[in-house]
Amino acid sequence: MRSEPPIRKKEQKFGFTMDLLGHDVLNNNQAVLSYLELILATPGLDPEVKRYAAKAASHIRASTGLMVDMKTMAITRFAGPESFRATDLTKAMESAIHELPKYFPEKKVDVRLTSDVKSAYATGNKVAENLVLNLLVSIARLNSTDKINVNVTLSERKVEGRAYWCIKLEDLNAELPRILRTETIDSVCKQDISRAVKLAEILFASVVSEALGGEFEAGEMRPRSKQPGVYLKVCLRKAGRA
Amino acid sequence: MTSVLIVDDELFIVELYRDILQLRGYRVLGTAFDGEEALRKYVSSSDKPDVIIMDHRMPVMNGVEATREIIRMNPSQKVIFVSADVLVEKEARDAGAIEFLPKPFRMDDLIEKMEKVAMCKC
Repeated sequence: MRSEPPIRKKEQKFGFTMDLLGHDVLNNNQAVLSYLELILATPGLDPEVKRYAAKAASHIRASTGLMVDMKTMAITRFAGPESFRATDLTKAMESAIHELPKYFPEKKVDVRLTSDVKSAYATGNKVAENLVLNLLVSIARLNSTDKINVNVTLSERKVEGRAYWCIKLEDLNAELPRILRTETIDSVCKQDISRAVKLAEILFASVVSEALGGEFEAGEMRPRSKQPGVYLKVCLRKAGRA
Repeated sequence: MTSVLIVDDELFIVELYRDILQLRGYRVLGTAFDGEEALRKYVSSSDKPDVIIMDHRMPVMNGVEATREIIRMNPSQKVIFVSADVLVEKEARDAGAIEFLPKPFRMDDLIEKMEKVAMCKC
C-alpha cells in the first residue's frame, strides 16, 4: 500500500482547516446579514441609517462570496471534472442576474442576456453556479462608474471533438486590473503579490474553470484604444442532464 | 400557526432563526443543538412540528443522518435543510429534506420556503 506524499497530506490538512474556518465565517455572516435585513425592514427607519445598513449588507454579501469562492477552491482542487454533476447554466445565469443588484445597492445595474438558448447543461453542479455568479460580480466590480451595463451571451463551441458551453460577459465601462493589461493570467501568479490588486475573483474564475475541465479568458474589448471595456469568457464542458 | 423545530449547533444561529420566525408569526416548538438531540426530542414529543429547520455539520449526529432517521419514522415530516455546505444538497434531498437553503441566505428566502413547505400537501 502506498502512503500519501507529505505535501499532499499537508494540502489536505490545510484544505480541511480552511473548510472548517470558512463554515464558521459563513455562519457569522449569516447572522450579520439577517439582523441587517431586520433593521432594513423596520418601518420608519431614518433614510441615512437605511443607506448605511444597505451598504453594510452589500459588504457582508461580498465577504460571503469570497469565502464561498475559497471553499469552492478547496473542494475543486483535487477533484476532476468527472466528480461533478450537470447544471443548467441558463438557470445559474438567471439566478446570478437576480442577485447582482444586491451586491451594488448604490449603482444602477442592468444585465442583458441576449442569447435565446433555452437550457445549457455543463459539468460543475454548484461549483459552476458559484462560478457564474462570481463572473458577474467580477465584471461589475471592474466598472467604477455608477451604472453597470453587462451584456451576456451564451454560445456553443467545439474544440478537438469536445463540446463546450461558453458564457461571455462584456461591459464597455469596465477596466481590466492594471497588471492584466500587460501580463497573462498564468504569468501574474509569478509576480510580486504587492502589485496584484483586484485580481482575486478573476483568478478564482480561472482556477475553477480549469478544475472543471474548461477554459477562462479575460481581456479588453478595445485593446488598441485607450477606451475602457472588458470581457470575461468561460467555457465549460457540455454535459447531459443530471 | 405553523410550528417549527430548529436544529443547529450554533446558539447564535438558533437565536437568529427564533427571532426571525417569531417575528413572522411562527411558533418555535423547540430547539436542538445536534442531530441526536433533535431525534430524541422528536420522538418524545407528542406535538410534532409542521416544519424542521435542519443544519448539517453538528456534533454527535449530522443533519443528513438525523433527517434520514426522522423521515424513516414519519415520511410526511417536512424538513428544510439549511447548510453552508452546498455540495451536501443531494444527500440532504436523498435523506428526505423537502427544501434546501444554502447559507448564508436572505431572511425572505427562509420565510418563502417556510410558507411553501407549510402549505404543501406533500
